[in-house]
Amino acid sequence: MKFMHIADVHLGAVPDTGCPWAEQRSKEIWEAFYEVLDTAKAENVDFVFIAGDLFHRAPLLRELKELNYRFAGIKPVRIVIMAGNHDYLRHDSRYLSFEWSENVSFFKSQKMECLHFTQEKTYVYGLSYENFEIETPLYDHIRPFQEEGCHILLAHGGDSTHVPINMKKLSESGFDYAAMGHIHKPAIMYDGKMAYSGALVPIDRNDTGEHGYIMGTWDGTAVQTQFVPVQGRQYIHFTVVMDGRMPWGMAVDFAAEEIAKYGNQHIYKIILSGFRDPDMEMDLEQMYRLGNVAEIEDRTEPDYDFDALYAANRDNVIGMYIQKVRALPAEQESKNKALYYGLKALLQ
Amino acid sequence: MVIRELKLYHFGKFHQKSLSLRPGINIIYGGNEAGKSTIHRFIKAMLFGVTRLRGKGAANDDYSRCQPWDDVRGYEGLMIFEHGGKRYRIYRNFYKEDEQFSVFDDVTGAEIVLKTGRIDELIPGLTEANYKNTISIAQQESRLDDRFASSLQSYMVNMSMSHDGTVDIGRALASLNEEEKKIKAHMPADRMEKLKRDMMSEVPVEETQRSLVKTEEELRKKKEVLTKQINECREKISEVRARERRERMEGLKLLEQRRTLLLSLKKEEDHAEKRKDVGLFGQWSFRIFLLLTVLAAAWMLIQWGMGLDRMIYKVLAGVLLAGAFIAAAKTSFKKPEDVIDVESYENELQSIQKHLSPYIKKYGQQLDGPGYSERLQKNLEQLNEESASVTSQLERLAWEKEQLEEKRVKIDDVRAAYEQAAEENRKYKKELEAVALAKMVISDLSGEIHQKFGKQLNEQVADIFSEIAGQESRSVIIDEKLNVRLDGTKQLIPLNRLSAASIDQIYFALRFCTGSLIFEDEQMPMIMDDCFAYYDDMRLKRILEWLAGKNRAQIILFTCHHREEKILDELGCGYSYTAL
Repeated sequence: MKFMHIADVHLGAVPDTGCPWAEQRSKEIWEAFYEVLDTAKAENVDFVFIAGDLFHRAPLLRELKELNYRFAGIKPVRIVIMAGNHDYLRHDSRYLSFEWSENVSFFKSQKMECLHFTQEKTYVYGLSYENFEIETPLYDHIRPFQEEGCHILLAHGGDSTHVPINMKKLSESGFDYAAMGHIHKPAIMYDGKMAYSGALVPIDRNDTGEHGYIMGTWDGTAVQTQFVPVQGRQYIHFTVVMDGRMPWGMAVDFAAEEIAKYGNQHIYKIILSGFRDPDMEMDLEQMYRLGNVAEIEDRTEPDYDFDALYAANRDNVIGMYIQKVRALPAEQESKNKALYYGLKALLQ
Repeated sequence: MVIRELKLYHFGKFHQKSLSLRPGINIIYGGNEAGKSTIHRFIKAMLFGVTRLRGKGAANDDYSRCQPWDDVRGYEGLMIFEHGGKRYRIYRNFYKEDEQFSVFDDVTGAEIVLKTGRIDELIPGLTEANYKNTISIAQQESRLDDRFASSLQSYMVNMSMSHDGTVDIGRALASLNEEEKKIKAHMPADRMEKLKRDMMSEVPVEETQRSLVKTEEELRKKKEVLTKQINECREKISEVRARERRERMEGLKLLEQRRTLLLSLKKEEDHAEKRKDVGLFGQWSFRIFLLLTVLAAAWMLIQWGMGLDRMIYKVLAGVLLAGAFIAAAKTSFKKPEDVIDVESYENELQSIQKHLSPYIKKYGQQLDGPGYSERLQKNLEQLNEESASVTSQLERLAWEKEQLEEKRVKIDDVRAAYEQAAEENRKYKKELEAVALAKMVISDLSGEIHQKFGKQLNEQVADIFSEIAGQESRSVIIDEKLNVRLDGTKQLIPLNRLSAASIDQIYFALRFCTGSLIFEDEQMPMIMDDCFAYYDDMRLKRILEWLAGKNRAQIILFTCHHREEKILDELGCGYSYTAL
């Protein structure tokens, strides 16, 4: 038996909202999903398991119709879907009233169900979220039936507010494979007994690294899995280390080089760290214009040696200022910023 | 700083006027209109340029006032002074079309280029504001300027600074304000406003959703009811139809019966008629036949009488006789069957009719009229129509719900964008807070510094005041805005409670002190333009005595009296004298 395990597609999400490429990325998510379906057909898999969060929010009827058409088009591949915390089954969720094509199975409630597919000798266990958050561990005490065949659990969650999961317990529970969703970073655990396929396509700025799906096979005794990356845009973080003498233009050039190195199609978060010349104007717009830069985090500190300054100016206003600010009952971060702004103003 | 030479090429009423000054006290005597103030203005003009105003003030600004009365060109001047062990020569051309300002080292002749073009580059602190408030005292202008107060802060602050750094608190605060503006410019306030407005339309979405769901419920219930009614109606219709069919069948049967009956009645009647006709004819034909028979018989008898050989005639006669009898028998007597049983027919007809008539009433004469089922059918059609309309309403509702759902999804996207913007906003807010913090601390510092250094100032002023006023030393409190109050035993006396003379003296003392604060060790000249005109002799003596005792580098006194000379002579002070 051959299967594909995907999760966290987040159809309908608009990543990097506010950035000019947001709409484009939204479309790319749909396209990537359709490609996966085509691959499933081309590879003649028996099942496509979707372990939750297929949609980023409650699906629209027309979206389900579109999907269903596609699903019907890849018969005889079977598709098994569960609702996750993002597309959970609200009382009026379109998932519930929708008539799926015959090759689609959907878990209609939060009650654990087992779907038996006789032809493929496969048992698929799962449920759907009926709430945005579930704090009870729903998977810890589930055991598969003692029947011949492949027993696969679809599970979505793994943190304290979304079905906490005792990973070790789950790995020993007897399932041939646990197809998991919710964590956007792919991770294969316990020698392949369970895995997070990760988000099909990176959704959030912090979903760095490769994304894709898991292809698995069951030879009658055990499940073998392999992560298959999907080509596409990635989120890449890199750091520009500055020092007090580096002019802004140089930092921008360095960033441009990095972007050229990795590729223009990717989306970047640039972290500025180190020290900067306190009088230097940092025109962040210049850096944003270098490409698909979603965020620039400025972690630089002005190249003031506050201690030395204080020591040299103990009796005058500079020293008094430093002393006063340090004595304030505020957070260190605010105090540092105030020191920076004040000294920049006083020392000009 | 000691001013040595003044050369007015063309300035005010002066042409090619030269003036020499010396260290120490210089008295420049001139009657009214002699030009004392002009020279005073010249000094200022040489140091800082001539103020030119625009618009209405232009006629009365210094530029215009000092413009040479005759030749417009040549509006220029020269000044030589010593400062910091060096000797400098300044040249200025005031003419607006040809403005020029150059500084030369008078010993080497080399030009000293000033990057800012201002004299305070050469002599730190020598700005026009400071000049007006410390060095130069014009007539009846002893009060200090408000704005001077804030720069004084900086000077007090810098009193303890090392010489390679100066701090201007006023400027620091101003630049922090600039920083604030820059940060605010980056804040996504507008974007957030717009997104917020878009989000506001969510509230009606919720309400609309609720009302749609409610309407849907109602419609569904209605549909259920209608469907039930339709089914009931259908059942009834088939029931009724079945019954009608039966009844129609029966009716038709009865009709058939009646018809048959009537037919047979008619037949019988016809028969009867026929028989009646036949009977009559039969009677006559019998009679004729009888007659013939009789005749035949008679003939036969005759014949018989004549011979027995004609057997045929006998047979014939016999047949004819038999026939005649039979016919007679048949037609002579009215059998009971011949009488038509009209009554029984009538009875049967009636009973048929009784059964038939309700059917006829229902279905018409031919039993093919519309029955109850037709009405029911009409009802059914109506119900179906209603049901169809409800169905289409439901469909429309489903479509509206979808539209609403789409709208809600859009609003969710908007909300996500809003949160993103809010996140950015928060970051900027933090920066703003830091800037505000810095401003607050610096302002506080300002007050503290004033307290720290102001004490010194207060004491100095108090001392000087008591010396020149010849009074007991009193506490003087000067605040950051340079408002002065004297310490009475119980409360602070604002300055305006004192006599004009005292006020004057206090300000004089203040100027003196602030001057030394600003210029520190390098003494600047004190230029007094007829400011003692209103002093009485006693006071004048005291202040001159005090001034003389201070050993200032240079004091330039413009006066239209000779009193000052006299007093200085009395005191045995040296001075240089110039008369205009």
